[in-house]
Amino acid sequence: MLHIVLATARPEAMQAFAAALSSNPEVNLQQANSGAEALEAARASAPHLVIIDANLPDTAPLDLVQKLLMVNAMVNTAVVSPLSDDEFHEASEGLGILGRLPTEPGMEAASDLLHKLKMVLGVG
Amino acid sequence: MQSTIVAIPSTHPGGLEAPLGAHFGHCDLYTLVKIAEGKVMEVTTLPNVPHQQGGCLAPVNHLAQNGVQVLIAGGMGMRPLMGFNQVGIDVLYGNGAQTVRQAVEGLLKGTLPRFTTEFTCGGGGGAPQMGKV
Repeated sequence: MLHIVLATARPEAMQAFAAALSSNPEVNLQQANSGAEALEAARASAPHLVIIDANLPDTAPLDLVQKLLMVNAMVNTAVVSPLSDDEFHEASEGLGILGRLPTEPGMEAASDLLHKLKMVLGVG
Repeated sequence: MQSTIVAIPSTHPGGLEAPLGAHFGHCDLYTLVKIAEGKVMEVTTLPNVPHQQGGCLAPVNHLAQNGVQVLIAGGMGMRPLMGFNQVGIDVLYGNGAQTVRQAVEGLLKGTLPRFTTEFTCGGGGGAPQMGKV
């Protein structure tokens, strides 16, 4: 079972994406409403993946990635970002982020992300 | 006799005279140097593992599983650095060493600083680009 935390303050915009993840029988999806909640989830249960939406109320996405790394570097991350792939790579280099997601990800983004996660975990 | 296994990212074919691998996660292989009583006791090599996006922890787990206790690197990102710290592998900064031998000599003389987040490349620390993972 893949334990995934979705940190978002925009549940409506992420609804299709979250539904696609939840519909996968291998996924246990936990929602967090803030960076603090995502950090607490990482401390409590070491999820396989934390997905970080833009515009969280308490932290910028890449700052949250760094905080998560200090808690547990084994936790994979994905980040919603309006940047292009090149810009995002430049901004996030060294943080080992699994992937960038568009601002309104859907089923395809969920499928791609799960594929990447399984590859990194060696279960794909 | 207590010994320490030190890993140094290297270019092919590895060994004491090999140049350091500039890109930690993308190096050709690792030279493993066993040190005891301040001397080099044994030199071997360890193949690297394939690297993929988001897979920065693969070399961390690889080295930990092969008994490495110390890593000397010229550059790496924040994620693998945190990973090494969390699995108990000490990371030292190569401090300009050009070859594995120079890096090991620096270690034995105690001139290599601990690799902290200030040395990390890219978005993890905002420091100058010193290598990629």
